Amino acid sequence: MTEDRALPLNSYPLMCTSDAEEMRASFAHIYGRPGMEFVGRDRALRAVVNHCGLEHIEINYGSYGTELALRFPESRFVSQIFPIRGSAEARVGGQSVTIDTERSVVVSGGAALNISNNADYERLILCIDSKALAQRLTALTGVTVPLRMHHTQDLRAQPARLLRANFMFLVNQLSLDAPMARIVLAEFEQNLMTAFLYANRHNYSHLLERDPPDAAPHDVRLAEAYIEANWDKPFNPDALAAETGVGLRSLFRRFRQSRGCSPIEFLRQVRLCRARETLESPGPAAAVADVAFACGFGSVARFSEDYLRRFGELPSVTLEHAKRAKPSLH
Amino acid sequence: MNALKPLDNFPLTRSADPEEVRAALAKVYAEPTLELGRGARKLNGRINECRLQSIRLAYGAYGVDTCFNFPAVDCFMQIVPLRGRGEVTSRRQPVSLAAGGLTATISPDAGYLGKYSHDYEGLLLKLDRRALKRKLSAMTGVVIDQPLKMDLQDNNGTQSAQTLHQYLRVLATMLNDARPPLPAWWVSQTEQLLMVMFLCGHRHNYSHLLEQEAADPAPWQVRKAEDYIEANWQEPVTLETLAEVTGVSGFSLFRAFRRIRGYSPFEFAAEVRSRNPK
Repeated sequence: MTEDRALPLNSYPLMCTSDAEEMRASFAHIYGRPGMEFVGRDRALRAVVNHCGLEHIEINYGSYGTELALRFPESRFVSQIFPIRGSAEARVGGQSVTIDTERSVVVSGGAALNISNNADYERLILCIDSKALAQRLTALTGVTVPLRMHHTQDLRAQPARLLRANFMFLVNQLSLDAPMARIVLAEFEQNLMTAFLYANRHNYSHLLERDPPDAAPHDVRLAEAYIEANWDKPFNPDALAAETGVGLRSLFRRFRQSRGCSPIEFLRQVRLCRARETLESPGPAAAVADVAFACGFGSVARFSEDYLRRFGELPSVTLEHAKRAKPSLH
Repeated sequence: MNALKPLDNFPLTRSADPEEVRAALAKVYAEPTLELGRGARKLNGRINECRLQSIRLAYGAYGVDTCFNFPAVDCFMQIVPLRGRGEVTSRRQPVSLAAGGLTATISPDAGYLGKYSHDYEGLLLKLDRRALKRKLSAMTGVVIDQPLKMDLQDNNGTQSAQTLHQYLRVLATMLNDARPPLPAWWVSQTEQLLMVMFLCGHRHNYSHLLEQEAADPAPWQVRKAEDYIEANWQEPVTLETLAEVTGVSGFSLFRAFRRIRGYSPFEFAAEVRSRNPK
């Protein structure tokens, strides 16, 4: 092979081998040890795999030079495969899909992946730490329930193209000799995680889609308005039912349909936001416990835990920050 | 010429009349004076502008030699030439522009004089001063009480400056492929990214606060990781284990391996394994 073009992520080599065992052992460091079979007659493996790990995201480039069937076990990543040449047949969660430059596959952390590639197949994989992605989703929507990705993703749709363009830019930058500044890399990771959630279909896509207030039914909006107006009082389901004129059970169901959570969870989120506002502009003697109780939380520990999940930092950190940034006038 | 130019999906004006070009610029920005070179009466003006929220990205080409004089506006601006030549003067300081060479950064309190060759084509990034200040405050955790000061001609040679220039070009291409309206999430994410790139890509009076990077792992920490791998060659190597053994993050250790040894910890482990009997 006299090919001289620089491969993506050239300065982060993971393997360059013709030995099947070595290939499996190298993959084992990252995705768990894959099962592997040769498919065609040509058994001349020429595996080149590069792997660059960032803080929450890892990026993998690979080509095998021959037809293979690989089986990857479950991993700690949510991964999206972007073929840049050739094609492959991916099987995940009982679905089978042909992936190429126009169609991509997303594999959730808890799922195994079977993939059979043709000989000229080359791909990049965007691997996002499942936990970090779940936190991002919570920050964007407030929901804290597991994320279930659709496996097949159309790369021709505009959001997917925007995600891919940023991803390719990052790959190109990482392939240069001089790496990006760490602070820019960190921002890029957040950018890609957010873009990933918006550009790919999953069980919470409806919450992220442009959601003008009118999209929710009238009674759900009434319920929200009531909860927001009475956030500092104990939750009163009967008053809520009376306010909206809808039976509680159907209100809860409709609420979940259009908001993805129960009215109680919604109230909790409203309270968390109020608490954050208070912590961000604190009086001289403000303390986390006082704010928690004032905002209707019975337990400081539980409050701190929910707050951390929603905003990605502890309430004490927000308070500390606000106090430092706004020195008292006296 | 009908070739697609950057940001053509977001046209602001296409005009041969200098008055029309001035009026179009005045509507979205500030009214400039405009002189054409060598007694020309007409130009071939093509200006595109894509508006995000507090950031705008514009493309301009004029077809004749031009000289614009813009008053000060409440924005930071970066002028990135793509073709031809230009000279920008701001606060009585000049900078020569050429594609792949220098760019010019205009501060909010200063107007500028821009002279462009007939074949000049360039991108212009405009960032709202207040939005940039908010972002800087969020990034550093301090109150920004001094005006942000940047030089007209910046350290274009640094990697961070290059990252911004390259991203702007990619962005202009991406936007050519995009259909308005752009998704709201994308707009806000892109703004954040551009502001971070802009603040990291320039020297300014708050740069030192953005440079508090963790110290890189020392060679002895790399050595320690190698010792561990040699002693435990039958075990799979994970960055997590190495991080525990050496006390530095897996990612920086990985980078330090590459920098100091020229190979990754995984390659080292594979090499140790191949030395040992199976």
